[in-house]
Amino acid sequence: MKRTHIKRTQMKRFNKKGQIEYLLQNAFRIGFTIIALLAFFIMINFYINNKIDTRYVQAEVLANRIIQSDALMLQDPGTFRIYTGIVDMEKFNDKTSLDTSIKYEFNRHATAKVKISKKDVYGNIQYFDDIYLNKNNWDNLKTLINSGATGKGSASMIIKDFPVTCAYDKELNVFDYCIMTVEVIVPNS
Amino acid sequence: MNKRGSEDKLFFLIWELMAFLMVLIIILITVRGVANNSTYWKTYYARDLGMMADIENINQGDFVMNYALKESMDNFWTDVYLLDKNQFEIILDPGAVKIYDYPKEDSKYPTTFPFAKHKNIDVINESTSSDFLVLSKIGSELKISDYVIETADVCPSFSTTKDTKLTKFFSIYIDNAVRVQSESLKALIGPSRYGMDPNAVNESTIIIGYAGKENFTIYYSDDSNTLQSQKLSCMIKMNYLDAYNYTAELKKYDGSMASNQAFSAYIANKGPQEYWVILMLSDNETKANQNEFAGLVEQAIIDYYR
Repeated sequence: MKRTHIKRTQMKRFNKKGQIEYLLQNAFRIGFTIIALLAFFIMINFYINNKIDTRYVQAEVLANRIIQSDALMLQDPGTFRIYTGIVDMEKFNDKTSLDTSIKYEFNRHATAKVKISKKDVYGNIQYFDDIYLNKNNWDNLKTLINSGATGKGSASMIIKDFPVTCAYDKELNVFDYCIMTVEVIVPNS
Repeated sequence: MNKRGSEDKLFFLIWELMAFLMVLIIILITVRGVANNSTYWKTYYARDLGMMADIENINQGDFVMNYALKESMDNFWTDVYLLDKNQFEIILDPGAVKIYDYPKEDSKYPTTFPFAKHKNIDVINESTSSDFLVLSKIGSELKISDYVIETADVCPSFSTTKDTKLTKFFSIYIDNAVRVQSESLKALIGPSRYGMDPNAVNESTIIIGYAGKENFTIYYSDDSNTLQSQKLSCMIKMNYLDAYNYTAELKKYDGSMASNQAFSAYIANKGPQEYWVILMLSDNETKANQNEFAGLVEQAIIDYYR
């Protein structure tokens, strides 16, 4: 009797029907393990932050570098003191000032455009002139931003306005009040 | 169940156990790999230091920045997963900050972040693998270096802000010649003024010794609380310099007090979070007004926790 029962069980396991039944019994276990493992890896990757977004800090650093360094600002030739907020228009009109003063190892790191505008007596803002840092890169990245492209291949821009004094000589005898707009573009990374 | 049935069941259980162990091992390896990955921190430090270097290249005056690598602290997870402590080699190149895994030879490519060098600034091409470093622009030299507390002009600037109601301070003397100074200090930093909160914990002990005719020397600890000890020692040194125009020597504890009973007893019984400094007073300091001296040390403690 016992022998017959074992034989039946073995037959059930190793015939076609038995094999399918056996597989179905374990399929749930295997499937569940795979789903649990996948969920685990997805959660690990979701919760662990390994990306650092510094685009806007980089842009702020560059904007501040432009406004505070001697790249465009007036510098006393005797003491070398830099007057933050007083634009040396001689440097501004020399369109290479930014490129010669601020040079990054990688051209793609950042790019900037500095605009000078003036308010007329009626309070209307009149555009005066502009200067670029890394003009080629500016043209490329600005096109991407204008096209509305997002993601890694695109770029981000900040715009900052500063009220400044435009000095037309080193002694500050000839000057007027202007608005300096610093636009910085940093590629998304 | 007959013998054959038992064997089948056992085989199935062993197979299940092996599968479970494999899954567990895969999970542990993945978590350890993620936690051990130094890419995030290399990127973090490269960008942070690179942008700092960019700002220093504005070239308006001098700039000294003490920089602590915050990831270097051990915590619960580093202990549970037996994680290796990440150590980096940081190189300041003219134009970029480069971070390698330490030792440099083991890492193929650095994580790099560029900065724009000013035409009048010379970047001194140096490297450091310290957890606490200095990025400085003095004159026309921009450099990165180890923080050497013994010769530093400024004390470490990492934050030690804490409510002093929650911190208990002590002073012990290891030589009878300086008992008065220690008692004076104890009165100032004792429980009537600090650590009044019931949850207050032992924070720090100022150990006072006698150096005789030798110079006034401040020793900082050589244990896991070295950074805290260094900062307080440095602040006491600076306060003393401001008050008496005398520069005390600052040294790492060299084990010379090991035979002193009071000191050994303190070290054996202190809590692991408690840090200490040793002030070895010379004849000059023992002759000076002890209350003034205690006031200087208390001021250093106040500044430390501010």
